[in-house]
Amino acid sequence: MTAGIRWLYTPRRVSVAVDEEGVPLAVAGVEAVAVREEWVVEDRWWTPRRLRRHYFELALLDGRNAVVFRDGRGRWHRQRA
Amino acid sequence: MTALVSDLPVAALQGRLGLVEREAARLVEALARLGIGTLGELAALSSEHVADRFGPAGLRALRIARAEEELLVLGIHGAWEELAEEIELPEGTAGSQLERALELLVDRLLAAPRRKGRTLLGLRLGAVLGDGAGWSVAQGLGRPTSSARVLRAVLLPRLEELPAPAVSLSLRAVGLGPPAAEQLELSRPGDESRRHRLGAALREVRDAQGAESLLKVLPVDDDSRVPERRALLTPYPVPGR
Repeated sequence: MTAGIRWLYTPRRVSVAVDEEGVPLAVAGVEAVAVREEWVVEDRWWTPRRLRRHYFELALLDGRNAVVFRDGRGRWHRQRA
Repeated sequence: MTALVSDLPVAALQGRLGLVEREAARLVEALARLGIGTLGELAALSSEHVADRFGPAGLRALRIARAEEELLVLGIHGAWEELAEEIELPEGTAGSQLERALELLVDRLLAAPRRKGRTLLGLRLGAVLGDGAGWSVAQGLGRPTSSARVLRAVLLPRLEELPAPAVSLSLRAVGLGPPAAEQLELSRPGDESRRHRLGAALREVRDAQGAESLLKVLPVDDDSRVPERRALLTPYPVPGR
């Protein structure tokens, strides 16, 4: 994308602690008390730049909601969605 | 004034020498072959040498290079100054997304600081197609304008002429007219007065803080499942610019 353009809702890397099934337990050190929703996005599967994300919407212990996803390489990102 | 043009390449002379295109190109090529690459280097030559080698056309070029023909200099500088914007398109962009991309290009072209409030005389809409081929089309404007609404209205139908899906879209001003503020205005009804004051305030902010200081959210693909493809920030169009 051309320099100067700013997309909204761009994901940012975040540290996420998970249980043995890969479900988030904490986001950036804040405990997740509930998984409110969970979904998978797959796109561009017909290209070399395949996009696969496993999203979780979480309720955090401090009362905030957080949407995080694990990408195809196992890295975690936080995103407003 | 000489300093204004001295760094310009001699190719900037083309179209301003009163010659047919082929002869002007021949003169520019000859200058380049002699190692005269900029108008500053041309200006440093003596009139006698230029007249001997290039005749009347060379002398005219020399007068431009020395800023002795001010109007020509202003024209040449205005035309040579590149005012263009380009945007890469996500794969499969078509329909309303393509129109959004064009709106974004128009907003960015109008918000470019180097436009300095000047109106546009004509545009060239271009694209790089999926197979790498180029496509472009010229669009006249009838009269000088800097209205985003007018530019969109004339350019949107041209998107239908795209021969294949595009991977990038570009928009270039092919001529710049007088600043919008210098154009005659017949009347300014009540709403327009408020709009005018708002425009002045926005211009002040933009001039002080830069083009990126005023932005608006441009929806691109509201329904995308990938959140970062839904919207982007684009320069806020300032009324009267």
